[in-house]
Amino acid sequence: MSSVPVNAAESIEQHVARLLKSWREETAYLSSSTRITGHPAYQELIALGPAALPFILRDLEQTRDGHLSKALTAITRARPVPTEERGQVRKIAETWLRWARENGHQW
Amino acid sequence: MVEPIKAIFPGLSKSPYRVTSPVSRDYNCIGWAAGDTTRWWWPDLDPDNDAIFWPAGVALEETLDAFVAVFATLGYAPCSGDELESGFEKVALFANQGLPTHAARQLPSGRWTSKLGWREDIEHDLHAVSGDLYGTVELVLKRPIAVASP
Repeated sequence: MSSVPVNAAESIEQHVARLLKSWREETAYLSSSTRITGHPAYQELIALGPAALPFILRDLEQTRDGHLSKALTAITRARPVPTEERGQVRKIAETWLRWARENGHQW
Repeated sequence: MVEPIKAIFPGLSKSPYRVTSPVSRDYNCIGWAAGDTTRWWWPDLDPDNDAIFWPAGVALEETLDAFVAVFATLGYAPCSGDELESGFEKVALFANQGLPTHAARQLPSGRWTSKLGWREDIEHDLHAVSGDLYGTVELVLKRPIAVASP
């Protein structure tokens, strides 16, 4: 997998959008969660920290992509997903969105 | 843009295949082979990754042994070949450089069905998805058709 090129002129929102696009395109045919969340774009999302949160949550609302859960936990240190929901990608997204609303996050 | 299927799996240019589902991030190839379209199955060592499911009691490691153990919980055991066998259903495990990458399930016709990452399900010849991404078939498992799915 390729590394993610840096573009100093873009906003955080543009940066997050570019990382998500690159991540999804380059992991499209993978099943391995290790490789999916180990992708450089995913790791860069995490490295952006709280500044990226509104844009990740916005994407989550649009895509219901629970694979963002690990990044959300890394950024917020929260673990709102109950054990019985593990692996249920769409339900996990709903749980995170509910947690975000309850904790005053806006996106 | 996501690469077209045939660019990723050149073997699909040489044998017939058909797309049998829409794109879905809800389940992956292991879930599909196991008969579960509600969860993403993978052994992730990171306890912070809630987006994956792995049955309790099975080693959390990316090894063929762990994948065999998962399918053993569903009644599957290793067998010698990928041919259609009356009274049995089969699952093929793929690996690349020793790391499990993919699973496909045999259909009653003798052809195979795969969920490709978060993309579509396809019906295909077993070895047509072998290559740089998934590696090759390393093991075939079978179970009597009478055993119920989870």
